[in-house]
Amino acid sequence: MLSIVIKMLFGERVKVLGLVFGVAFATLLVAQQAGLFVGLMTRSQNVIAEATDVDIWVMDPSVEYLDLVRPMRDTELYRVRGVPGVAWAVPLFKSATSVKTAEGRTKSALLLGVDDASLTGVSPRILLGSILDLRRPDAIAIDRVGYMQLWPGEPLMLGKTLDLNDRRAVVTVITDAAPAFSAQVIIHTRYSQAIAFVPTGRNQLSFILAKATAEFDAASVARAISARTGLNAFTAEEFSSRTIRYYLKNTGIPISFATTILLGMVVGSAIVGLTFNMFVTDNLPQYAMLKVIGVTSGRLIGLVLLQATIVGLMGYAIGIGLAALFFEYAATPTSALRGFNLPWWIASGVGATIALLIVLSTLTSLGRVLFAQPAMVFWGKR
Amino acid sequence: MSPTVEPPPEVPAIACRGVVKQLGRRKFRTEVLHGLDLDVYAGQMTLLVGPSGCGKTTLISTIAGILRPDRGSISLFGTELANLGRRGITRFRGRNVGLVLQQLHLFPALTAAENVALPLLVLRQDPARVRARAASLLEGLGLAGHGDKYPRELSVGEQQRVAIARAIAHDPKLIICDEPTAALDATSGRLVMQLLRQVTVRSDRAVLVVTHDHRIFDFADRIIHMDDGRITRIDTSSEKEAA
Repeated sequence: MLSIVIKMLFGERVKVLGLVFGVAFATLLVAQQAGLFVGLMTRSQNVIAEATDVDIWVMDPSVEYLDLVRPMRDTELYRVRGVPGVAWAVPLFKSATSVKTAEGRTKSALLLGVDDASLTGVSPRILLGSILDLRRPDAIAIDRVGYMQLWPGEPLMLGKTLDLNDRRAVVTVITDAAPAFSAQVIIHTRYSQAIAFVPTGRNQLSFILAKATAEFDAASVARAISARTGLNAFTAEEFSSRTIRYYLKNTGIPISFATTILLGMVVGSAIVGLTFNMFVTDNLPQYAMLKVIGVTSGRLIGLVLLQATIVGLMGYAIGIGLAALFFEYAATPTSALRGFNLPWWIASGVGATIALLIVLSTLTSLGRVLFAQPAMVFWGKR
Repeated sequence: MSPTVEPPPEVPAIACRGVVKQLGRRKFRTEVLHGLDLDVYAGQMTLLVGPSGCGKTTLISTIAGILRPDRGSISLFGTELANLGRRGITRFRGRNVGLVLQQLHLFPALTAAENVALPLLVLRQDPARVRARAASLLEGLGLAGHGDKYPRELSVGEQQRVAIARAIAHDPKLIICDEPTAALDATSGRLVMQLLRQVTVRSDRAVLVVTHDHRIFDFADRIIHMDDGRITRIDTSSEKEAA
C-alpha cells in the first residue's frame, strides 16, 4: 500500500516538483539566514573566545560589552591580583585603529595589546613565525585574512612593515585569528607596544584578564572582584553572552535577519500550502475512491501525511544541502564570510520548523480529505 | 472487524425496509427516497432502472453504505448497516462490496495490475498473492500482458475490464455497477454486460446494475423499476419470458 501511495504522489510530477521546490526554498532561506545571523553574533565575541586561558574579564563599571572600552587606571590590575581566588591577572589593551601599507592600501584594524610577559590573549592559531617574536621591537602579529587584504596576491611572508598612526610596525607573526565584528585586520602586539602605537589619555587599561585558582570557581571569583574593586567582572561565558545580548537588543541586526527568515517561512509555506492544497483538491476523487474501496479516514490521513512527509524530506534534504554548500564554498577561510557555518542545531531547528510548516499546510488540506464524500465517485465533485 | 456473513438461503442478500433519504442542505433539502422497500437476491443479476433523477444512484450509494439513510434499515447478507459505525461500514464495504462506476475512477498513476490489486492491498493481503491474483484476473478478462500498462495506455473497453477486475478482486458478496454501458455503443455495451454476467454472477453473490439502457435489459434475472424515489414494478426472468 505504501508503494502505491508513493506512486500516486510521483504520478503528479509537476506538482511534486512544486512542493519540493517550495520546501527546499524555505529550508535554504531559513537555514542560510539563520547561519549568517549566528555567525555574525559569534563574531561579536570572538576576541573573548580566542582568549582560551582566561576565566574572568574585568572592566570599568560602565562597560556593557566587548566593543565599548572605557580605560581603567593601571593600578586596578594590582587590586584585582589581590583578590583571593585570583591565580593571575594580566592587562589587555583594545582599540580600533587603521593601518596603511607602503603601497598606500588602508584598512580598519582591531589592535589588541597583550601582557608583555605572558603574551596571554594572542590567537592560539599561529601560521607563520613564533609567538615569542612579538617581543622584538615594533613587532605585531597580523591575521591571515588581514594580510591578504593589505597585500593581495602576495604570499604570506614575515618582515613586511605597516604604518600604524605614523609609527612603523613589523609583521613578525601571522595568525589565523577568528574574525572580529567589524574590523578587517586583527593585530596582536605587546601591551607596551600597543600603547605606543595608539595615543591614549591618562588611563590605558581596557580590560583585565584573570584566571581563578583551582579551588575557586570563576563565577564566585568574578563576584569577589566586583565586590572588592567596584569594577565589572564577568566570567568569559557571561561576558560573551552580554556582548551578544547587547547586539541583539541595540542593533537592527536581529530584526533584519528575523524579517528575512520570516519571509522565507511565509513564502515557503505559501508555496507548499497552495501546491499541497491543489494536489489534494485534484486528488479528492482518488481519495474518495480509496474510501469507497475500504480505506478508513484514519488510514487515509496517514497516507496523506506520508505523502507530505516524503515531499518534506526531499525538500528539506535539497534545501539544507544547498545551505551547506553555500557555507562550504562562500565561507572559505580567506573570504569575508570566514567562520560562518551551519551548526547542527540550526539544521535541526530548521528541520523542526519545516516539519511544522508542512504539518500546518497538510492540516489545512486534511479537512478536505476527511470530508471527501465517497459519493463523489458517483456524482463527481460536490 | 466486520464479518463476511453467509446468509441463510431465504434471506435476501440486500434487504431495504422503509428507506428514506434526503439530500441537500437546509431549505434545499429534498426527500429522494420515500420509505422504499427492496429485496435483492444472490445468484442473480438485478437491474435497477428508471428515469434520470428518480433516485437510483442515491439508492445504490445508500446500499453500499456510502450514504446513510435518514430512516429505515438496510441489511446486507444479514448484517444491519445501522449497527456498524462509520469506520465499520467502510471496512464492511471494503470486504463485501465491489463497485464498477460509470466514470471508472482508475488511478492514473498506477498500472492496470496495481489498480486491480488495490482492494486487496487495502485488506492488507500478502503482496505476492495479490500480484498473482491481479495477473490471473486480468488474464481471465482478456488483458494478459496489459498488467504493466497505465490506464492512459488502454482503450476505454480495456479500462472498463480493469475496473471490473478491480471490483471482483477481493471476491465481494455484492457487486454494484453504476451505468456500466452509458459511454459505450450497443456492441461494446453488450460485450461488457456479457463479461459482467460471466465473471460476477455466482450463487453466493448478488449483482445490482443501475442503468437506463434498454438494450441490456435481457441480461437481467430481475428488473426493478424505480420512479420518484419509489419502486414501481419488479419484473422477473419468467415474467420477461412470458412477455
